[in-house]
Amino acid sequence: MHRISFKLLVFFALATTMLSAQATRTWVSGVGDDANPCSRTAPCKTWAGAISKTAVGGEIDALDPGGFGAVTITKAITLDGGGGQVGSVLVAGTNGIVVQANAATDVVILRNLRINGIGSGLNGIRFLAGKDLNVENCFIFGFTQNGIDIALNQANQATVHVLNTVLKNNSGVGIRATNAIAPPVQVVVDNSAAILDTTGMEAASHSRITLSRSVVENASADGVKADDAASDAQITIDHSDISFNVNGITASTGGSIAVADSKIAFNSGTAMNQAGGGISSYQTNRLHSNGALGTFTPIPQL
Amino acid sequence: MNAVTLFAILVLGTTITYGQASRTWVSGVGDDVNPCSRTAPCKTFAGAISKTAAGGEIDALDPGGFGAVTITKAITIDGGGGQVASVLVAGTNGIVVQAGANDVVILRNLRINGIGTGLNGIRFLAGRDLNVENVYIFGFIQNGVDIALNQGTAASVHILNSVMKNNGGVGVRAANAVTPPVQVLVDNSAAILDNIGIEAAQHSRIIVNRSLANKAASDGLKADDVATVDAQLSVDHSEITDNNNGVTAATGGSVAVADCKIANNSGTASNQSGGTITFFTQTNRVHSNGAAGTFGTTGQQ
Repeated sequence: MHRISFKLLVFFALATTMLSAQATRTWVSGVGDDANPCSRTAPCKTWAGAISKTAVGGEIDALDPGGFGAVTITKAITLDGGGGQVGSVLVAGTNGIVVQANAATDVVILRNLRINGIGSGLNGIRFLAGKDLNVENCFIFGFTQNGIDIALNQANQATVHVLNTVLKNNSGVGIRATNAIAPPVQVVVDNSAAILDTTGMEAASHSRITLSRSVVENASADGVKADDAASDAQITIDHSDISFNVNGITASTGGSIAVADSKIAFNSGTAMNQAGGGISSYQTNRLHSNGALGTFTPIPQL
Repeated sequence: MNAVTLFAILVLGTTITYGQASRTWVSGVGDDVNPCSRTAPCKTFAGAISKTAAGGEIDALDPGGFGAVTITKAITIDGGGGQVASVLVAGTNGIVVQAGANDVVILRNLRINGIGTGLNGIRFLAGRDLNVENVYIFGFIQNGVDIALNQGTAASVHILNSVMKNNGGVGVRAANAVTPPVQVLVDNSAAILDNIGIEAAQHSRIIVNRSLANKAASDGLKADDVATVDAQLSVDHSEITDNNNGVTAATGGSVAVADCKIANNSGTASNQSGGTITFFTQTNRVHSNGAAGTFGTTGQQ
């Protein structure tokens, strides 16, 4: 009996040690080591190495510049690269950051990151499940698919907030939003830029995108596009610039777009491209020097 | 060829291949004889670039002056942002981009200082796309960003969150010697105390958005293309103040203006000097200029 109790004691002691290894804040460093506890004085080397040592709702912070590698996130967490230094994820042939968290509860915050696909990475950030994804002050570039790929399949309401972020030179879409089922995912894109992608911003199956104070340039297909076989994709655009694309704004079947106070110029195709969907203009937009003006429904400001 | 020679060739060849990383580092206390790794960083951008693979990136590990560099391939240079990552040059250009027709070059988080004798801050001579983000370019005797292409393939330039200041020429000048016109975006940026703030010249299109053109000795914004009549500039949500002329369209240039403040320019606010200026009707605030000048109008939609 005594021997059994001793074994039990050892078991509990080990379990406690494992639990105490989860800190509310952990650190990564360019010269860290994932064998470390990820503390301020003994930082880890990668996001993936730190995340298992970080408590739900906690944060992983970059202590100094470094490439911290790809990571899959399955719980509420914050990753902060620091902002004044290069806190980076550089991947070849894979996704950068995948978020597959609890659809009902988990908020995931990504800040101050560079995510580089160097021309072979798949998606910069993939959002597969969760309550909310925050992308702030990130530079996402060089992916063969999408910069931010919101590809949900959940009945819980999901939201995405993209602030002060650049999506550049991605072969798919800068930001693409879909949920396979209702309700539509709600996406805000503010003070951001989608440049040199095939499509800049796309609202597809069950999605709403609000685009404000942003620029969408040099898309080789459509600057901004809404399309949904389930007729549940909507985009509203304010105070933005949509130029140098093939088409400026495209509403395909099942998609609708409202646009106000924006410049739509120098697009080689059609500025307002109603290709099966509907475009409403608040009659406050500046359109010029496009291949064709296209068509839209004028509506008044109030 | 004997076995030893073959071995030597293979070993050397392998060494050369290993020398190019997808990410390299520079440090203010680095050394260009290093491999530019995180733990053995290089000293200069020029020293690091030959050790960086095409499409890769050079990142600044800590503050420093990293010197002039000529870029001939797709690459990203990132100074970090919260530290001084600088190129300071006397009598030469800061960063010259002369890359391939498909190459995307990204410059971020840099200071480029000409200290009153440098030629151009950034010169874009060839490439697919140049990205200038969060860069402070000042004290050059020619242009801050000098886009001087001569290529029949498409080129674009995106200038975000940057300042061009106190340059003897133009803050941002765009020209391609041949078609198609180079496409330039200037967003959330400022051209201050230059001779001309922003100029669309031969075969060029410039969008100016949410930006500031201030204290130009000549023109705040200008479009002109005498040779080929193919320069257009379109400005929105911006402020054009305290210059000599506010907006100038010279021969071969056209400018569209919407939702802008044009005030306190000592010369002419809307200066049609051989070219055309179009205001989107009743969206601009024009006051306290030497003269209002003339412009055509068009409606918003």
